[in-house]
Amino acid sequence: MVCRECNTENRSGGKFCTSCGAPLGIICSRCGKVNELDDRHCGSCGLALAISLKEESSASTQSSTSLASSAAIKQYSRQEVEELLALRKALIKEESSAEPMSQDDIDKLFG
Amino acid sequence: MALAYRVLVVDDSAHIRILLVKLLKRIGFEFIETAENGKIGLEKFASFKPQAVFLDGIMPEMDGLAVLRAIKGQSSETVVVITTSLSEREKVLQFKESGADFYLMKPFEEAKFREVSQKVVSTLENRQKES
Repeated sequence: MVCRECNTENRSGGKFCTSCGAPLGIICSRCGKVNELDDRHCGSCGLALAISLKEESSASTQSSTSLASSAAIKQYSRQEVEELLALRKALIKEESSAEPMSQDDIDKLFG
Repeated sequence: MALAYRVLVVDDSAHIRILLVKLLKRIGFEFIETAENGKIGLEKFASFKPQAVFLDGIMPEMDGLAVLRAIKGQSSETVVVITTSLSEREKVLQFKESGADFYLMKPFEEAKFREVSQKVVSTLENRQKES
């Protein structure tokens, strides 16, 4: 697979370019999975990738064409994907730690 | 039944201090001291040497967590009951990990306060038997 960023020929199956680290597929905006370029739905969470692309660029009114897909792919480097995933994990953890406990739950915790 | 244990109530709300003293006396505790903030609470802890402390979570000067850590650092045997409106899991876990023995969420019913106080008495009795 040829990287759209640096034109390096990559082995098939890889998700990121081995030369520049750019994603070689479509990144799902809901769960962060990198899907194949011709996937129409995310293989992890099922989100329609056309919708995913729209969500990624709310300011843009681009339609879900392959051209739009290409534009979206170019928006993220591997480092950015990792940062987004780390941010998502942190948000989930924050939500969980801010969750209120009932007196019954607290009693179970303290015994 | 008269209880000879010394109890310290640390809370910045005068209403809560009065209420807790009243409830503790109803249960049978006779030796009760109060403090209006964490700093004074620690001073009274050093002089009064209570076996049990009812400690507010949010206070000026020193918050409940800092006071709890200081108390447990000096005397791990002291039974500490956190009385607070803080209910976030992270906060509750911080108190638990810092050595709090019991946790009573405000507002509470008298029955719940009695239940927790009874646990305090049982814990103190067990520790007395062990020592």
